[in-house]
Amino acid sequence: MRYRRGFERDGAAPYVFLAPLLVLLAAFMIYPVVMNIVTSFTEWKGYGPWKWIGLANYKTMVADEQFWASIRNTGLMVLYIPLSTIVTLLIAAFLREGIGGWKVYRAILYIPNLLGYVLMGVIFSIYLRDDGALNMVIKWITGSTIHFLITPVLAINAVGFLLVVFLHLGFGLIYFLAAMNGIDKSIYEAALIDGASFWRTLFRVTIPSVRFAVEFWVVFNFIEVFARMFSFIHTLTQGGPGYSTFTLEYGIFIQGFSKFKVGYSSAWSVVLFLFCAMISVAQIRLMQRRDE
Amino acid sequence: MKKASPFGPVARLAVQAFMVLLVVASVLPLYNVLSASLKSLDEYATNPILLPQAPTLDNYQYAAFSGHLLQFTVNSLIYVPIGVVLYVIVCVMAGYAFGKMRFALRRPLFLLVLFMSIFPQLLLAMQVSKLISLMHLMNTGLGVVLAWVAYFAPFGTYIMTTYFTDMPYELVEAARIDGASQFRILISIMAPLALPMVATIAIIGFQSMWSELPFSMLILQRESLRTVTVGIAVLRGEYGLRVPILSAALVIAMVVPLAIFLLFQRYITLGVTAGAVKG
Amino acid sequence: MLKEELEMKKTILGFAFVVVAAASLVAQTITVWDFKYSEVNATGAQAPMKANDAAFEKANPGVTVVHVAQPTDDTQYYQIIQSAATANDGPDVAMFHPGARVNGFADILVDLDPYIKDIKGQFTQASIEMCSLNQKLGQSIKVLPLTMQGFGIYYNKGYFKKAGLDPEKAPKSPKDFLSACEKLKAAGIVPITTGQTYTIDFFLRCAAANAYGPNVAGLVDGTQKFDNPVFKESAAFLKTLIDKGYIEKEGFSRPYFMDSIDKFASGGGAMFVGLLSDVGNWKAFSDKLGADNVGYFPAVNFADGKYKDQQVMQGAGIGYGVMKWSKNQKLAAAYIKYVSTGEGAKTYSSATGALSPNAAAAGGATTYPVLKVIQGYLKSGQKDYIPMFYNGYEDDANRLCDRAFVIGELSIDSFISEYQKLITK
Repeated sequence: MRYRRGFERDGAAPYVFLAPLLVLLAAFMIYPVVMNIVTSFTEWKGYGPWKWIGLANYKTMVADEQFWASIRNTGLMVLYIPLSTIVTLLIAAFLREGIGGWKVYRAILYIPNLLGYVLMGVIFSIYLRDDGALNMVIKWITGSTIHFLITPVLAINAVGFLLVVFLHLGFGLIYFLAAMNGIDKSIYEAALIDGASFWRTLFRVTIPSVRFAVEFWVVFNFIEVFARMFSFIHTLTQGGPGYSTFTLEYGIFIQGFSKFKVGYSSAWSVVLFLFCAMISVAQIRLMQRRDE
Repeated sequence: MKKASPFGPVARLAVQAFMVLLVVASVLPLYNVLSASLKSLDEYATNPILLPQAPTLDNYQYAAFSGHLLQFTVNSLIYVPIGVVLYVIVCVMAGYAFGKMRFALRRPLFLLVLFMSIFPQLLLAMQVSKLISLMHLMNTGLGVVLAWVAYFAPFGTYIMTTYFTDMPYELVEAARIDGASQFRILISIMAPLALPMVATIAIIGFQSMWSELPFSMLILQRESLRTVTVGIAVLRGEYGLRVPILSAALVIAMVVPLAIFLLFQRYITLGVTAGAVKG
Repeated sequence: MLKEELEMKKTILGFAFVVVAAASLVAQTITVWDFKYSEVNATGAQAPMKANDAAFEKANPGVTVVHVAQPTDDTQYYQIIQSAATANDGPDVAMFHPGARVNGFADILVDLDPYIKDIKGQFTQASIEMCSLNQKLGQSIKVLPLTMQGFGIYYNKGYFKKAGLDPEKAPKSPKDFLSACEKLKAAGIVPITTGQTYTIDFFLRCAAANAYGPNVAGLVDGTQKFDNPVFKESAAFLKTLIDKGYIEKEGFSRPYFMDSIDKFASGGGAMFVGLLSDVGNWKAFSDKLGADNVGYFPAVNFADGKYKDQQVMQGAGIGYGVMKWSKNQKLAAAYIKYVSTGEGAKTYSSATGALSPNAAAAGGATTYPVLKVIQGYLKSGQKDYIPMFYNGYEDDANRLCDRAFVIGELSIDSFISEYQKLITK
């Protein structure tokens, strides 16, 4: 046999197949990213001439309170990822345990996902107002209102909870339910016969079997926190009050598009790139382990 | 087949109650948007939360005609399907190459593609629009479609790659032995087998492109060419938009994605399933 | 034979020339980018703009005005302008916020001086100044002003009467103001309808007019500081208003400022720190609350202050510029001249309630008593300091105000010093 698995090369064909993707990426993704990095060493207003200033932007950035606030806030969001994982897993496990109509639940709980971040940001900004729906209920029960959107601690936690936990629930359920359905039924039945309780089964059987799914879910959430939170925050709190929901992405936006300090904004984006690079390395490691 | 539940009856009730709460929380936003869209501006100022007392279609009329959202929806219905077709072709070809072919640069290139799939659009928008204008594709559907495909393709490629990787190599081997070219293998064997997954990325791609804002806003500067998502961005006044009108606009924009979701639910599930089970 | 052929060719050429010339005359379009064009509410900009476009087309046969609505969000709008600048192609005319913004875009805006020699004198000096490069008179004029902008405190006369206050007497001193709030609260009326941080922001701008008078520009070159007794007292006053609950705290979390405007207009509160621009203005309130029901005063007069009753204003709120890549610059200039002066300006102002800095547009609706009051105060107008600093200054300043007043994590002294630091960065 001329062909041996895992050894032969396929010549030029792969590159032909990859050409459309690579050409598009080179033009629309790699070039902008490279330009971003180059721009971080300049002073530029977004168009027209630019001035090379070396590391000056980075020096300003490191001394900038807003920058550290944004790192801190992004970090706080990351802390919600474990909660999201646990909650989603639990609910998926609940649904699996024969609560009738889990398919329907799964579809309905996907609706927030479907509506999208912009819409959900707008809607929650209205709900969480001091004179909004939630506070009407709270006022009726306790007589006073909770200032969700204008108290820093509450605002950032609201963002974390709503975005990382609630808005990912729909997608997460589909994901984990599918993973759980892939578990070998015999193991599962064996546990039931042994008389294991719900929690026992969950921790001994279910979760270990979906380990890879859990790991990828965590990575997915990291991507969301670092690179997909902007539209939600923009419609919900605009990074406020003050700087309490000001994340790295938001800072890039304000520096670049409100203040026209594109060079400075690019320095912030380089930091974001570094985080994204770390995330994709983690992704690759996970995939490699899975392949083994 | 009903199996004995590991839950006691009390626990069961608690879980059911919790689930109902979740359902309410998920559906409430939709209810809010719909009810707000049917209220007049005056009514909304005094009754923002409960059911509309005097429902009116004025907001829809305004959004659809003065706001040109109907026209923009037609535009979206032209650009997005074209984008999805291109997107599918690019992703299937690349996914097959990464998933089933052997070549020296496979790992590094795949890493690059993964890396690219993470970036926020913010960072790329200005440069992309500059490129489009250099290519003389400003204010063209082709320009915006290319930008969309370039941005969303990495993720679609990743999904197709996982899928193709998991397909048995024997199929390819047998065809190679028979002397078929890679191209034929892809077209005649692999693609047809991957159809469910292709449907999935097509739908994901559709939703992504439909609701995309930064690129379309910068590339489609002429009013008549706009997509529905950009149309909504433009409706806002200087200090924010009146909620009833915004709600009507959002409903109009949501109709197509919602329809797609309801009709093709099982494909979305399928795609996520495949990703989940394989990891 | 040759001579006839030549004649024939000449005729054809001549004919072709005429056709082309006619075609180019017929095909002349002016594309206008506008971030106000999408407003179609009662005092919205679209209706008067459409009327002006039609009138301009009538006066210039063969010309079509293509008016495009762009996103109103500052960041989105200027992103699109930048994108056009990079492509070196776009509209003939675009709307801008005069002030520091214009400086950034100076290289893509045509110098209007040669085109406006005949009408320059019609505009207030303040407006021309704001529209000039670096906001200095004598430098190139980049934008033609369409509106003036300003801020002040509106009050609902009906509610004042209800609370036992004299509706014709504006509560201008701090003592009067506080006692008015107290009486209103006691009568169950919300004293001050709040709109996000804008209420704080606008109040401080009004206070600055009284604090610095004509020396506001000193804040830029450092001869004036925010550590000024009147300005400081105003900030402390704001805190008092919030602590006593006179400023409706709910309003801080209201996501849209328009909702607050609507609330005041539908009787949701007794006072409102509003605008003199084309939203949240005297016309919108008078139309809704009744023309005799709206009172106005420009600021609270603190005893320490040398200046009283000063009206904070921006010479120009919004205006139009001609883009340097336009192939119809003369026509474009004619267009912006039309909409910013005389009949055009009058149409816009009377529909939206915006104030025009153009003398030929004067003589607004005399059926609005509050307008007369405002016009009286305009005579002692002082510059607004917010547009004097860098792009994006307003965002930084507002976040600082959030921290000091909404969250309450800064004392007045730290607020003043942080506020000062912002502009010396």
